[in-house]
Amino acid sequence: MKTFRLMLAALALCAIAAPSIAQELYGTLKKVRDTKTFTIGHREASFPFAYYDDQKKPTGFAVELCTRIGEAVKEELKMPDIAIRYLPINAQTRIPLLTNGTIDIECGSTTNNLTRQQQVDFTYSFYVTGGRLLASKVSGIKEVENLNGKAVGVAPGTSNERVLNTLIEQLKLKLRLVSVRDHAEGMLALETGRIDAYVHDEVGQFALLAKSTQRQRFEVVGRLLSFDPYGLMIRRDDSAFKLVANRTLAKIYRSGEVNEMFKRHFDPFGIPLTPEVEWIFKLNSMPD
Amino acid sequence: MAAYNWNWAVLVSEPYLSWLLKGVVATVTLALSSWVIALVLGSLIGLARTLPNAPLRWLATSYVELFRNIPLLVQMFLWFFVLPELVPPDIGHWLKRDLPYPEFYSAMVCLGLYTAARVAEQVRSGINSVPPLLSAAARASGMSLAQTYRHILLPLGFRIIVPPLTSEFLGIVKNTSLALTIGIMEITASSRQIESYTFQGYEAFAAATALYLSIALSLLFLTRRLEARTRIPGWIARGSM
Repeated sequence: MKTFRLMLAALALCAIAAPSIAQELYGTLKKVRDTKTFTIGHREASFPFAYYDDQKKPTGFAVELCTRIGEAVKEELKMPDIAIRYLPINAQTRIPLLTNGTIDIECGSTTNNLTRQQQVDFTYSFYVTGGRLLASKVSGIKEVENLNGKAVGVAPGTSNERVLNTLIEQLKLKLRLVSVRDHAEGMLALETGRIDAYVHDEVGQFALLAKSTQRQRFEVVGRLLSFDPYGLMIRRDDSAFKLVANRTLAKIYRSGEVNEMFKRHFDPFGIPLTPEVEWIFKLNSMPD
Repeated sequence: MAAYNWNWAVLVSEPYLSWLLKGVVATVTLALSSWVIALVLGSLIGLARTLPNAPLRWLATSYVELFRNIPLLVQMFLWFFVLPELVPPDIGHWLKRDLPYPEFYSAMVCLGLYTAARVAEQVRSGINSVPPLLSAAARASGMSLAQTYRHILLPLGFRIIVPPLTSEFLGIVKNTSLALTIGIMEITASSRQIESYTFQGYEAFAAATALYLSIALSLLFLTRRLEARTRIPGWIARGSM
């Protein structure tokens, strides 16, 4: 009888001790446990990373990765009843919503750079691209050196703008910079002959071309002008959650599952698998 | 907001400080130049709405209703992207490429014409608020219609509407922010650009707020003096003659 009571007491002790381990959770994992929701902030027109499908449901390469991370968080916390929510965000709202805890992860096509890391943290870079030129075939523009005297469009605030300004200085180019509000407007400016070339991430250029009705008039030309690794944005100082996220990514990349995902999301836009992207696939195949 | 890293120093470091200053220059230049269009055109149209000439009145009313009732954002887009495609290709090409700052002139014309419709309404109500007995007396004493406008209706009407015109002017300053949609790097666009580069959005938009506020307050200070000088003693206070 005494042993039985002792065992009971030990069991009770375990029951008390167990939640105290869970309480050591912090940051995003703790928040998800307390609120029972994992919120994914997604861009609405970042093809093919985050956009809406025909049923107005968020989809895309990055959205799929984020959803997988959400599933992994559920598993980590052993709470299958956690809800995964999707919230549309844009370039202006992504930082406030992430830092105030409205969203737990941002998926779109955000370049991971060191200046931005002063404010937020990123998971492994899931994709890499760089700026390239989109120009009409008859313009004769083949490289950035041909831009002298031309009107060139770029979206202000993007890493492409930064790179273009550096190149203008280095190569002493004389061109007219035209700011466009977003990439759709950049394409419109190109189609209506307002600009001769548009500078944008290579992958985005392919997506613009795929959606354009005049795609046979234009082509993506020239070398990669910059190195833009895309990361999923998370809050700073949150290593426990970052580990869950990176472990999920590594598993997808290591198992080769990423190749199917790539085909599913990139083939419809005719975006080729570039050597740079292949490096990233290899780099992300971290051993468990 | 525990996770946000404040860094106010970003606002005074280069190149961000000069972006903000360039934004201020763009905002002020655009506001002033479109205000000139708005004031001149708006006065003419507002005057036309009070004339005893039906076709002219109808034309002026159509203008006001057209420009006042289409959202400014849509008008901005129409002027910049649609207009050059509607005109003959040569003119379209000139608008898009040969004009030195196509986006600036589009925004200036767009803001000017939109605000002209609003100014016209102020001018019309200013002229209409001059008691009809005054213009009847002018006509009775042998003044022509033009003379009645020149000596009675316009001087009185314009002095009455100085305060509402002030607020239209403040309106045009704030409406310049819509010009960012066609690529003008004014104050709002500059703060967005700083946000994208540094991810310090709160600081950038706080700076934009402070800049707009100080532009508006300095304008208010100037126009208050103008209002004081143009006020017709006893007119508004008494309400009627």
